Amino acid sequence: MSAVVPARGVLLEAMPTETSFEVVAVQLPLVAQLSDGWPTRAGEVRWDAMGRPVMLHIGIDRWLLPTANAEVMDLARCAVTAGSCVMFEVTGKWQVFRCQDRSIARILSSSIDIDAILEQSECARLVVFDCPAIITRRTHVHWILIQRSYCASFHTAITSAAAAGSAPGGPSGASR
Amino acid sequence: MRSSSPRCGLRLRDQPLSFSFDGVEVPAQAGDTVSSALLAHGIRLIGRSVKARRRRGVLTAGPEEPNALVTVGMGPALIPNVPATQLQVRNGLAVRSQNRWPCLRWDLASLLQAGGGLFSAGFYYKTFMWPSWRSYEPMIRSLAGLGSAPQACSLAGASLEHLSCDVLVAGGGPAGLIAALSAARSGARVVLCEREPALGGELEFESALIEEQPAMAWVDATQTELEARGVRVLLETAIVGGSNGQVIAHAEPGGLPGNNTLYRIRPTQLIIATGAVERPIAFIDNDRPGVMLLGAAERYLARYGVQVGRRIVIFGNHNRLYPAAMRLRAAGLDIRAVIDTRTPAQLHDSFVAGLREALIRSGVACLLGHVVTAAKGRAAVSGAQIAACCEAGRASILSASRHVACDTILMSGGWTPATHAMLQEGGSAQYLDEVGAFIAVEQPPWRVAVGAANGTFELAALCRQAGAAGLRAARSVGKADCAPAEASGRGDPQPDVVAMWRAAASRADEKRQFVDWQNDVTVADLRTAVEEGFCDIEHAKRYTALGFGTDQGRLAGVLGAGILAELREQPIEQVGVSRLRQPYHPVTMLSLAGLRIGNALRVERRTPLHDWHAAHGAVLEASGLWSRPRYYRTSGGAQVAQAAHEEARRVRTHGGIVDASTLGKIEIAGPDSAAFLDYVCLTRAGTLKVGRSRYAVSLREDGMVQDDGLLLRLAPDHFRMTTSTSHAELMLSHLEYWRASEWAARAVTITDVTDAWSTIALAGPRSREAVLGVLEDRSRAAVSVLQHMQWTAGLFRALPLLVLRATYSGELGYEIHCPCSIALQVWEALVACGMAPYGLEALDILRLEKGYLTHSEMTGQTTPYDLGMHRFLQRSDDFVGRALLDRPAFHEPARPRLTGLRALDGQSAFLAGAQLVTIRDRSHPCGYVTSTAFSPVLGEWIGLALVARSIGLGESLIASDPLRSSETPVRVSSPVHFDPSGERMRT
Repeated sequence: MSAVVPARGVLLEAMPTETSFEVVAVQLPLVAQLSDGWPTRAGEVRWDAMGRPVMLHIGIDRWLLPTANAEVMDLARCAVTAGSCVMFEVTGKWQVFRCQDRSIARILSSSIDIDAILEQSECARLVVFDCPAIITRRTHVHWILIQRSYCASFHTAITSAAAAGSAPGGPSGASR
Repeated sequence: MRSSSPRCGLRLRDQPLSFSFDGVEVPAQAGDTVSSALLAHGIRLIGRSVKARRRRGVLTAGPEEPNALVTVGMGPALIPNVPATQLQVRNGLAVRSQNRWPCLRWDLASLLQAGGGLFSAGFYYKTFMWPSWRSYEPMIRSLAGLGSAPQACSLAGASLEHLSCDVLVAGGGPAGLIAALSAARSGARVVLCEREPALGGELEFESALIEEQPAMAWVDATQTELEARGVRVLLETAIVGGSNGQVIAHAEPGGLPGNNTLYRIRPTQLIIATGAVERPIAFIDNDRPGVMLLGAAERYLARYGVQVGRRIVIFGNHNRLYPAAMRLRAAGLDIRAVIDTRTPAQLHDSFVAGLREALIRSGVACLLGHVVTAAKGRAAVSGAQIAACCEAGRASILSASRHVACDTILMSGGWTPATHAMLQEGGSAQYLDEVGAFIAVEQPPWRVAVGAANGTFELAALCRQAGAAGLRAARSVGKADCAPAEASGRGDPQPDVVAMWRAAASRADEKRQFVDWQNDVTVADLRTAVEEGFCDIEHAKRYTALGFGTDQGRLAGVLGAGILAELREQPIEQVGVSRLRQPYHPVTMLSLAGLRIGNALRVERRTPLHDWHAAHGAVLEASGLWSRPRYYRTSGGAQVAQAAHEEARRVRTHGGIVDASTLGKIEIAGPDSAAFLDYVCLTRAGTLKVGRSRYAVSLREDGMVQDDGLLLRLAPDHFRMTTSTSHAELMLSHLEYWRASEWAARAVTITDVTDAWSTIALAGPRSREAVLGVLEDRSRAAVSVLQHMQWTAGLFRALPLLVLRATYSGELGYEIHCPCSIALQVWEALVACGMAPYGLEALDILRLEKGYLTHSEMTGQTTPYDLGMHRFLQRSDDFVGRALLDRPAFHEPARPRLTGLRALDGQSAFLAGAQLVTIRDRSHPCGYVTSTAFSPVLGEWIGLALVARSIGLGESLIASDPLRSSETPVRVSSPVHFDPSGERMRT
């Protein structure tokens, strides 16, 4: 499934559902107990060779593994075995969208100031258009994870925002 | 005035346009506003005042315009109260004047002027008493109000943008530009908002040099540099409010609502350079078409090439009357007189004195120590009455007056700094005598005013102040890469305002000395307010409507305060100014709503089966944020009752499935998870075996029932809790709270998996066959021997899922928890096995028949005792809510108890919400009905109720429903109406 935001022709590419996990620390502080490769700074993201986010630090004691590849699963299992973490399977909880169009930032700004949010942190867990979301980006490719049951509303809202933003006299018209 | 040749102005383009005003076509040029085009075409009468219906023309050239408000469009979707001074002309635009009937020139209601003081301040409190207010109300309401309210909305939705920046500069005049330039050169991220379509502010007409360049050339160069430095310049965007460090700006392209944008800007530093609003002066008939602010006349000339009159009298109280007179004269206007209220001793500036001499030499009468006492003329200005005053700056005894013929009076009583944004979130107003106005002081460290907004009017000083403010703002955010902008400027002289609020007049004439044009507030009204004890500025404002309306007191606020000070014989500092409210400029409701309109008003959560439901005749309803099937049209009836009865009957006789994916699902894991759940739930988790589940109830700390659901033990240290749909977030928050507080040192983790798992619930005698029918062979054995409340893993087409034997309806039932990716396939397979879907209505009927809680009983005010959960309370250890469960009040006879209800006659209906009263005492309810339904298997209306414990089973009560005018005799019964032994679910 891919979603095109009509007013700007922005393609939001819905990625296929993959096995995913949330890893939650049982004991804090956890950072000292984790092996190398864990994104331990607030909002840090680990990317795979294809430029996909594979481990996102989405809370002080919480990581999301949206694509449970072997590498990150090994890291996670080690932590679980060591008694540091618990893994919850959350396959299907998040719908991952990828967008390579730069104008998505302007559309998202109808709801959040994405530039300010991602200035200090690689990813952020927040509410976008009233939908629970996780957002990260790398080299202008935005990854937007929306809690699945909200996807229809998210699509409606982002389409409206794009249409409003592209209207004559809208932000692009008023701004010089 | 009227001219057929194209006009030249800073904002005009040589492109002819036309629009209609009251049905008459008016030629214009691209860039014109409606007011500039009307003035250029010689049309001066543009509206009528709201109360007295006096003729009104254009007073200003900005958004503070009180008179020239017009209605745009026709039909029900018109847009009223658009300032003609802001409204850009476009071809085909249809504009109508307001507050008149049948036409602008001849208005019937203007006859009310003959009533003299009929509409004085507070008139409606004092008059229209006999025979009653109601007799007059329709007429007054038909006359009241600015314009006509639209009946429909045709506006395009507004867009919204969140921005953040290091420095936000509000205002694109010289001070704003220099401040923005200074901050940007220092490396700060800058956003600049300007409410006009072009930058420059007063530089558009002021004879100024900046950095030795003509002012507008400097403006162009500065704009280019700002854009090159990445400054975001938002034109036609006004700051309209803000709080908590967030600033709200509103863009209204073309001055017409529609296609608006609301900006939510979070600046680290805010520089207010919004300039100042020129102030009028109160004299007799100062509202005649032809009386205008001096600055407005200069703007019309510079921007649009419009000469607002031919024979001009200029009236004011400061130095800048003279350079303005020189410029207007140079443009070809006949300046008849410059009337300066100041005495010769108050004219200090030699440059100004030189200008005055030059004007006198060219034949202009320049009178010091004089005032314009009245505008002459009936439909429009035909002259000015002038008199010498004995005490400059104060209304005083007048000498004999003289008449000067003119068609325009341009007045200027000084300037009111635009301090609106400075008086929110801290900040107070302080009167500056040398400016004759209030400025904002006591500002928080992140906000500063510069330029005219700070009472600094002289260009050189303004440039220094703004440059320093921009640099300071940049430094405060750690930016100081480059040298600041240090523009030098030379422009009009320091104004040297000597405050003067009104010309002296007899009390009778004070009724024609206007202070607030939009609300017809006169000096007489203010005098009445003072005499009747409404002395405080806030009281006087509300009593007279001073500063109400679209301009929010920008024109009239300080003028009214000055006149009140005179009337009260107090310094104006003691009178103060009224509090300024947001929004500072009119904002359409549509802009405030943003994207939250229509279907987007609230988010909707959908289950993975949503599309299937919609495609199979489901009537969906909101259940919290979720959209759930209420019933299916395909179930045997178009009406909800028919369909629901059929669905419920089918579950009892055969079987059915319901989409229960909306139930909250929270997983709790970790070595201490069982102990944690023992603490936060009323029911024990520690004794639950892996592979089993248990009904779980949780209490709040005050002992009230919070929610119920099921608890499944997935592994020794891993549980899944299901919650009711509407309490899922609440329960997650509840669990997180206890985990993060009392249990912070223990090994427990929680995560919400509601969206990861779909839940399909089967019920009915054939449900076992259906479950076994969809599972793979190797799963069937384990599922077929499941006991009540046991679960096991299963396989569906090689994909894992979880099967739990549990019931919502008292029937043999199962829950299938499956990954959402296969929910549709599982559902369709069950349907193919003969399970028909049922909706919430049928589910409620089934639950009610069994006496299961429908959540109307968990109101947050019921205890486990009230709901008959005594069996869970046999615990000796501690748990959330325990401490308060033993309160005596929880055990009083008046406490409610969950009971069943049945109609005494077995047929009559009674509805939820009805109060229960005894036959002996109908005035004191002893309970109320929480839920009811017609039971298709029992063939009668049944219900659940919370009834005082003193009422015994079998007692007769009356379900009294005064709202629906019904009284139904009912009998108190056991809550379990159907299959009380529970035989069916244990089959």
